[in-house]
Amino acid sequence: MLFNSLNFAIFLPIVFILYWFATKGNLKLQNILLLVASYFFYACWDWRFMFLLIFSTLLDYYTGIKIHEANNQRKKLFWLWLSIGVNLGFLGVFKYYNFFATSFSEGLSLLGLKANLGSLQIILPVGISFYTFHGLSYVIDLYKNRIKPERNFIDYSVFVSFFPLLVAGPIERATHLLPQILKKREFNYSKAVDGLRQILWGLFKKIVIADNCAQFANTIFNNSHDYSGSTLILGALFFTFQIYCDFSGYSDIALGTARLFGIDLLRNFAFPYFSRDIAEFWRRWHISLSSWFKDYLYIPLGGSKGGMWMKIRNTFIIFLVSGFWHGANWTFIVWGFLNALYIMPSIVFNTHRNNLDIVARGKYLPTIKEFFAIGITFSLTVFAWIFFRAANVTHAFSYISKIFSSSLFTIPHGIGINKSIMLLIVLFFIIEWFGREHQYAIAHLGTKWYKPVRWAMYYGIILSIFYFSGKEQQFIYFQF
Amino acid sequence: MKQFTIKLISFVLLFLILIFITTFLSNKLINNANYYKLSDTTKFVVFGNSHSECAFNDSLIRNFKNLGNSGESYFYTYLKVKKIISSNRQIKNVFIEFTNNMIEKSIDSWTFDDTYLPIRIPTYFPLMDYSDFRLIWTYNYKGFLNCVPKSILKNIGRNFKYVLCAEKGFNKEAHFGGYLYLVRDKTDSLVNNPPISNLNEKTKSEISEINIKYLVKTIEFCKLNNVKVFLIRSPLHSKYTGNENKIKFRELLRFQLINSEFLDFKDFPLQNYEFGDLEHLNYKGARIFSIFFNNLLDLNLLNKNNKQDFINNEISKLSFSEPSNNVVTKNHINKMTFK
Repeated sequence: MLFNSLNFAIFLPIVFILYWFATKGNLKLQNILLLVASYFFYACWDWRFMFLLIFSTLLDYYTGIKIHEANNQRKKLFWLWLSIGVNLGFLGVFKYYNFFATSFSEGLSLLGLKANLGSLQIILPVGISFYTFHGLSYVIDLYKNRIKPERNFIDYSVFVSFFPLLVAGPIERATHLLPQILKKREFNYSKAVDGLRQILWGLFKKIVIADNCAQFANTIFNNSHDYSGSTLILGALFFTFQIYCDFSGYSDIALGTARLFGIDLLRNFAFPYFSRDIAEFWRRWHISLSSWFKDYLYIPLGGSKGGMWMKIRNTFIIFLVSGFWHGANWTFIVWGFLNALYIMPSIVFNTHRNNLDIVARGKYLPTIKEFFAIGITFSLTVFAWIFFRAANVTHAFSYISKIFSSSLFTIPHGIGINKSIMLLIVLFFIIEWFGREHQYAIAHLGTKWYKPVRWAMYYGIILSIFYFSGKEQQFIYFQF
Repeated sequence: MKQFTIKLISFVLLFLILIFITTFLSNKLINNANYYKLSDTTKFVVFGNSHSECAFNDSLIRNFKNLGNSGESYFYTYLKVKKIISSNRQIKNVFIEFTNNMIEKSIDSWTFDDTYLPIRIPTYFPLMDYSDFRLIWTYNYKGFLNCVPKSILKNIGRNFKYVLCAEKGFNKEAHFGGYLYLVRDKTDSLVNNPPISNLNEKTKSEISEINIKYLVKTIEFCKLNNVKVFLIRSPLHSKYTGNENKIKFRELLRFQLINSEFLDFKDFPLQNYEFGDLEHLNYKGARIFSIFFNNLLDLNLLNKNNKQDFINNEISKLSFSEPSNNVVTKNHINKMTFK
């Protein structure tokens, strides 16, 4: 069930009405309803993988209790590693088996040896990377004594499977989400209205901007040998907007939906394309994953405590792992490596925490220095996205080499760009810029306007969603 | 909670009411305006898909209008015919393209697919009634829902343009099609590398019930309005492979479409460079064919008893060598031009 589907438009109001009216504020009933709704939501993708989800939930629930009850460190470690091993084992089999098998065979063939491990027809269970990380954060936090185990299986299951975040995040922490699930939730008018606004903006980003950009990006990337360098740059730019609007649009819908049920999820995006350096970009892009890696990988590896080399090594490790987390393809690893390279100067010169606040706070425009810093960071990001989008590394390099050919200085042609879509992208960019100090771009837009004008704005957005709806595309991050 | 529910319901209701009023007014305007009024001199109209769209250059045929449109199924032709006939009472004869591909099951995609709906629905939205909406909804409710707001907005735009335009007769905002001046000439390469038919045995035997049903409905509508319908097959290249379903095609003509006459120009002799591809005439071929067709109308074709024999006889006068090889001499083209 896609967020941008009619099925979800029917599903959400039904769950909402049952949640607030039928349960009469009974927390136990509300959580049971959320769990049933979440499993139904997941089963709509593929009911067979529900068993994997339930098994993973049971495993972490049980090992969590065992970690807490263990009376010595060895036992604690045993249960912790059992959970980590099984969770990552599932992830490895479903997501990475074919990658490792093929890479191993290719590696041996380079040495003149013949080995064929064969590839399996494995379907990737949707959301496995996300709910696995939910579970891992729970057992690691228990091991570190940051939280107490949750003994109510229903409540714990809601934490793992809450439908707005189940298939593409944000990756929640038990410390943040579990207390909200256990606490009695009252309906909050302004929170619900805010949730609806965020859903509306998320849908606009996904359906109007991302899906339309996807059509151009797909055409250009899939036929890159036919296009000039300038058109290929345009293709990379389209993908840059597509991936941002697709994923941040999804996150907006997830956050808005959760808010309708009185639950606040972690913010996942904070206007990353207005970043002044790569370190800032990574504090603003897929925040829940970046902070997960920081807390559960970078810091346990020693973080920045062991001197400069340790810092550099650990930075490379988390970026490579982050790339690999996105998918079983060398393109993602190269993308991760490239980002690690980008961030290196700020790590070495210790400038990575220079830009903590949003750019040009309280001003209409950035300074010239900020403008150039944003431009350079954006260009580096666009370049890295080429690897992320390309079918394989060879394709990425041929794409880049074609960009830097003489055809770079020709006028882009042959893709039939719709002027209205281009105008909408520009308008979107302007709205994002002026809304950058808030949770999401339209969080405060029109809130003080006269009601008919404000409603006209909402109607305008709704109509544009229908009017400019491109060919329905699945959310990119579902494949991860 | 109560406040939220009331406001949300008001918001949705107001939106629906606004949509309803706008749609109603916009459709009313479109239907009442002389939007679909053709010139009074127009006595014949051809409807159909890209075959007729490319074959009939209506500037070369007296009192004739080409309203063929690429990728048009009979469902939309039916809506178009209804509107054109009721807005143009002077029309007493219509031609409807009836080619082999129009009976295939795969043609249903022209009616319901996501590729075609966003083009067709905005154009035909003001002309559709409940049963038409229901049909589209049954087969592709998602696509239909996506198209409705597009249709409303596009029709408001059409109305504005129509109000602003000086000439109030039939205009291009109707999006009803017209002669397509096709320049391409890729027949030689297609003859050398003929496309493989994508019909498997199963689809070959499947007929588009919906398409045929709407063709029959169109014919019945015309009959009720005292308009004669002639099914017509535009010229096709001898290497065209789409007529593999000829047995079904003949059966349909013999049984379901028995009440309408069929005029077959499939073997009209043309050279490769006069085709855009194996099934469409380019502007050169259209010129020759349209002049020939104009002559046939002048020779009172529609009142002849055995029309196909008359057509074949006229075609045979053109061909100095074997017609099956699509050969017409240069001299003859010139001769026809000056006829």
